[in-house]
Amino acid sequence: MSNQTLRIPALRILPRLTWLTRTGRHPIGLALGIMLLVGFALIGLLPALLDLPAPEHMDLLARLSPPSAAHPLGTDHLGRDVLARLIGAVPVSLGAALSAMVAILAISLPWGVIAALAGGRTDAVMMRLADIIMAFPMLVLALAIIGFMGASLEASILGVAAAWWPSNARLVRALVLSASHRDFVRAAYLSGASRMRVVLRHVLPQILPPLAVIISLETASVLLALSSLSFLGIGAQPPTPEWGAMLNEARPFFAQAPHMLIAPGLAVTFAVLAFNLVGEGLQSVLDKREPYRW
Amino acid sequence: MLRFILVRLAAALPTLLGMSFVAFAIVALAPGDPVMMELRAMGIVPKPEDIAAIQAEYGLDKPFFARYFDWLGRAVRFEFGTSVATGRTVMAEIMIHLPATLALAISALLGAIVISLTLGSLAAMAGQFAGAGLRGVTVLLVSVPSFWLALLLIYIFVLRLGWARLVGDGSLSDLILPAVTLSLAVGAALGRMVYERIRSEMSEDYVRLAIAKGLGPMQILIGHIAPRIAGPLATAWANAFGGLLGGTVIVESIFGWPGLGQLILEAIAQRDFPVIQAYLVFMGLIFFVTSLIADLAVVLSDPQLRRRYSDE
Amino acid sequence: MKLLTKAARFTVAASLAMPLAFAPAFAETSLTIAVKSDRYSVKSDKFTFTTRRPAAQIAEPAVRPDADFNPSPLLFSDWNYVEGVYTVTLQDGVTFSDGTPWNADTAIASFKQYDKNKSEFLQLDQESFTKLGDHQISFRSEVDSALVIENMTHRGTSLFLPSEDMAENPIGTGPYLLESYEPKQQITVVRNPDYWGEAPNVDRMTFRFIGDDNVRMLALQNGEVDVIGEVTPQMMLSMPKDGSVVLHESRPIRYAALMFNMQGKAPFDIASDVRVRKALAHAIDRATLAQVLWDGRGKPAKTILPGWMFNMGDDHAEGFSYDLSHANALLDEAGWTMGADGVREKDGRKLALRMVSAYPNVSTVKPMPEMLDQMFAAIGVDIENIEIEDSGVYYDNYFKTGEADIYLEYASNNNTDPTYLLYNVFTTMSPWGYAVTSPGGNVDELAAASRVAKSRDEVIELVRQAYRAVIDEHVSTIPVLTVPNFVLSRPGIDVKMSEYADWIEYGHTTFTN
Repeated sequence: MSNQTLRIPALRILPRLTWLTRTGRHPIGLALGIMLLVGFALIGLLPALLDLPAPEHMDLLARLSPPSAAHPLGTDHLGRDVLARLIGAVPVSLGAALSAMVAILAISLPWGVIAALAGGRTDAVMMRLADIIMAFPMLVLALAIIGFMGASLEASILGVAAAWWPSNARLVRALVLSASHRDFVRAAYLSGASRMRVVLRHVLPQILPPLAVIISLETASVLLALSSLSFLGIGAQPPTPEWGAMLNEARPFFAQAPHMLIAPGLAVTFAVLAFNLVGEGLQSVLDKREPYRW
Repeated sequence: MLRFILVRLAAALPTLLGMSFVAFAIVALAPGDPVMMELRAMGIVPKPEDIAAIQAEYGLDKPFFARYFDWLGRAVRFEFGTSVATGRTVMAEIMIHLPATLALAISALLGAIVISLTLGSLAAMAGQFAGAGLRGVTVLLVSVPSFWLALLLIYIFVLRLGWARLVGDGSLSDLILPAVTLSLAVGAALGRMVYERIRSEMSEDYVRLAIAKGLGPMQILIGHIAPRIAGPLATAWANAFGGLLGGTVIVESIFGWPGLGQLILEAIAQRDFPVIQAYLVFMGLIFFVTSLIADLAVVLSDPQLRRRYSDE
Repeated sequence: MKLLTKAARFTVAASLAMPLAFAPAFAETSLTIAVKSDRYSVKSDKFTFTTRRPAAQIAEPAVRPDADFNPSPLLFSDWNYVEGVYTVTLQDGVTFSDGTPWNADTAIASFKQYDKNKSEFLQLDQESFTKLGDHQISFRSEVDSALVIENMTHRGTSLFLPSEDMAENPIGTGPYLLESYEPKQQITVVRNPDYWGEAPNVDRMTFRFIGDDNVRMLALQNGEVDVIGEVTPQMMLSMPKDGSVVLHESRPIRYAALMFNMQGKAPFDIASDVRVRKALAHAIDRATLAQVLWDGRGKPAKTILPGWMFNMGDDHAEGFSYDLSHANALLDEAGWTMGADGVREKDGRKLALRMVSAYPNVSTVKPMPEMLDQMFAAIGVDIENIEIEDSGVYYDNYFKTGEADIYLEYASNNNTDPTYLLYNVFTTMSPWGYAVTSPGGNVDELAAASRVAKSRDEVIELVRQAYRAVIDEHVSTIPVLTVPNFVLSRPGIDVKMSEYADWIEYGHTTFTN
């Protein structure tokens, strides 16, 4: 393999990406996903470029007004500019999803790797523990944890992480198991390499590409879960702009002010879509098999 | 086969035990005391001896582990006690809400199966552009928050077109909108999996052989690929069903559907401890049963595994 | 595809069935009322089934509250209280729904049945019941309370004829009979043809339990229910203003108020300076709040209890005007100087306060917290807004622990005892933990004195003085609004409102079309 020379494993995908654009194997999805993510990042980082009112600023005389020149996406029930809130919510909503993902990985990576490598009884016990948490409906578990901690964005991140890590740990374990059963990993063991060295040099580089797929897809579902919780009113606290919370606020008014509901809903959908597209795109890049056609 | 089930049961025991502990601990450590909340809400001024008496009644005066083992002893006999809020037994409470959730979960699963098979197989079999389009639709459906979809459906079909009722009376026709909401989301997720499975089978040599023999796409799909992916699909369906039973909280609440999701939301709000505990244990059991069914489906659909277990 | 045809068939069936389903709702004498989730308990020692709102139609308590919140005859026609003994005359000509007459024997049996309830607060001495005549009994209070008759205006004290199957077949003296009860879904009552009192207008009432506020509102707009029994400000904000939804209101009864943490430890000690509390009180634009929330039906409040109640009068406290320059001056005087970011500072510390909303839950007052947040920002106060839907979390995580500066509460005095709310919510003797927000001192003394005052006039004067001390002197609680009880309905319906939510008599609803 020519890309063995690359030291940073994630970069090994890059040559395949060029191969991908060359053969034209569904690059559209991946490209679209990356474009969406870059777009969100730009909007989130540069709210100052647009001349918008502060997301918390209320104009009580202009409540529930439909989209107009002054308010391109209209105003909400307190006369706040929906566009300003939508953009103000980018770092909050996406930041929450990313931090939840970091928290999930912080538990699930070591958990899965240790379980897979230790094997035997340790593996069994660790996976049973993960099963215990997995047995509960994730949303209900998160709901109970957050509800009892007191509602806040931090609490909902922790609640989602607490409910999500076990399924992630299982995936990590499966990846490590399949990676460590490869012939060259066994060969490395047989040639007397230390366990640590085998893990770092041979196992981890192998699991990183599929892990990237999993992380991207899981971020999408974590984002959905967090916005569901905010929609239920436990999550980001008003007046902080957050997409799920905006939808929660929009709900009573959706008969006469549907614009309040449409924009944040689309924002969540596109953000989730972006992570899903990137995940699926990476997956099909990694899948080298070609189906037979007739 | 019986042996397989027994082995699985034995292996599940520690998990079930751990689950029961988590269910009990979550509730026992929650803030808010159902007794005090109720008294205050009713405007009753409690006397210390009243509070002590009520706490003794609910066993709240005993240490944590003593309460846990007491509770576990009764829980294994499915005696979860009486709901603090309503005075009915917890099992009666669950039976009040279970039929609605079952009806919703079953119809959503059926819808999801139809949607997933259609989306997945069409995407795998269709040409490059149509296939990409179908996969685009699938990933879009996976990405739409179901609570938002539910609101859009209500806006269109209830408020604008007036084709459906909102609260209804729990009859079959009132089931359509919530079931459609859930089956779109679950169907898309399953459809993604159907597509992956079919595609990976299509990379196998036997498909090349079948193509070489001159079989048509439908013949290959139904005759060769379908039997091989039936096991994993059944597994996914079983898991999806388990997920639907516990994952309908938001959709039930948006449509005012009187199922288990409503029960748990209310129970959490009212600190109806016996109900919350029983619900969590119940969900754990469902998880356990559906994953057992999923495993059985894998064994039954794989001739090699089937032979191995029946030989024993 | 199969699903599609199935769905199409269902849709057709549903649209065909709909006119049939709605037809009874427009018949003159039937009413469908959407209410919050089912909270009835059928447990024998905690029996609340049909005694409280919404379906409080089957049994009646001994007396009812009149317009001034004083007890007036119902099942008791007359009463007096002399030296610890209550002597009451029972209403003549009353029968329970199974035909049993209401007399001294059945009355005593019903009270003894009521006493099995653990949460009873009449606190009657069970041994003291004496039959004085066919329609006359006497009894004593277990705790020598002089307010037993007042407490009997509470619908929770409704009287049932003792029977084995109270949960399935409750027997009371009320205007309605239980027809069917589907727990958590609906309860239907039909008119009692033999009711002893004024016959209600409505033949049949169905109460639908719908937990979600928005679903209740949409169901009304969609014509699926006639009346919404429990209304939040969000509903009134989102209510269509084209006449398709009609609002019914009582006199103001509830109060929305900010209560300060009076025992705050750092970092929750900023509001221990009375000037800070007063500045916040003057920064609230009550007129705007009243206009935006509750569709302009809320009233800017000077004090806690509405003036009509117990003839308290609105002017027993001065309250606070909306005066930003005064508010700013107070904060300047307290040493909080405006920082560059628009937040005031003192000794390097930001003027940041945590506001927790609300008791009983935030949906009863939303979006008031966000609006207050902006009003306080205008005088340089940075609010950490915490909205809580769950009263357990409110109390255990924030109230009991004192981990906040301001608590927003939305409550009412639903008791005919004038000292009840004062003693239980505004003194350090509060059994509900309100020492946290109570100023103590003279308020405690006045409240204690009011409980043992000899005449009702004296009681009420002491209560007035206590509220004046709470609001004008200590500024421990800032009144914001007083708010009526609301009911929403379709047009063509007139609901007979009451300040007592349990006493809204849906049976006396009149139809104008």
